[in-house]
Amino acid sequence: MMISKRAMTWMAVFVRVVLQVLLIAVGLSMLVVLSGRLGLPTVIHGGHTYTNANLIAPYHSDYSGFVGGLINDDWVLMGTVTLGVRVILISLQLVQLGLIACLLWLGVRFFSRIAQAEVFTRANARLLITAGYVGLVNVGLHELVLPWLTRWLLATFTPATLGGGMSFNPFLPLTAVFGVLIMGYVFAYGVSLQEETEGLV
Amino acid sequence: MIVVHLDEMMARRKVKGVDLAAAIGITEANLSILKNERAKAIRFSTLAALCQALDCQPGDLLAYVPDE
Repeated sequence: MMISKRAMTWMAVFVRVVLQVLLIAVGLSMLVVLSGRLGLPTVIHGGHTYTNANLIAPYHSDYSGFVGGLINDDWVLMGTVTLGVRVILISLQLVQLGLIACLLWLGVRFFSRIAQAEVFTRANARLLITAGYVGLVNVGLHELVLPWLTRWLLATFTPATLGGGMSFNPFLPLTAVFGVLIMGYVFAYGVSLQEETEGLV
Repeated sequence: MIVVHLDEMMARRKVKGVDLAAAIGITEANLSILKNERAKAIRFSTLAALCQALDCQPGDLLAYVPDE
């Protein structure tokens, strides 16, 4: 089935707007996290277990108000929520949100170009390849680096430690990331082929 | 460089651009690109159609001139 140019433009505009809304939401989340409203799944302190606590009120029993984001579901923080703990956990969440914002921004730029009927261009290929590698870094950080780094930082520099399970399930995001990378390289190859036939009569 | 003598051949055969473009199945814009030496490449099928329409050989249309 052929998709008309008009339909493709509208679809691209729709996706771009969705990505822009998500980008704004991520930006707001970053501000909220920066101000200390970060969700903690479980905090064990002074013989009590608190669930769904957030950093501004670490021993509160549940969420109240707007919270930036819940960090890893499996984590259990044991010990006092000191300033050091807050800085480490907020930084972790900011890095993750920053990378997501970066991916969304690349997506907005890509779909803006598609909406202007600029599809097979070198710039689009570059955007896709960049998004693929940023996604790869994101998966690596989220699944491997940050969980270990956070545990080490908390154990070394604060009185608190991080318990709970360590999950490792990068396969679905990796599939998406490699999909984007393959698409990027296919675009780049297509653009080269197109350039070779330019000026052919 | 390759020099295109399409202009002279068309004048010799008294063929207009619009008619030649229609005869060989390319657009006038592309024929103009070819005539004005702005084309980077030519398909064998286009060259064959030009030779047939103008009753000439490829050598009558194209010539190699060494670069300075």
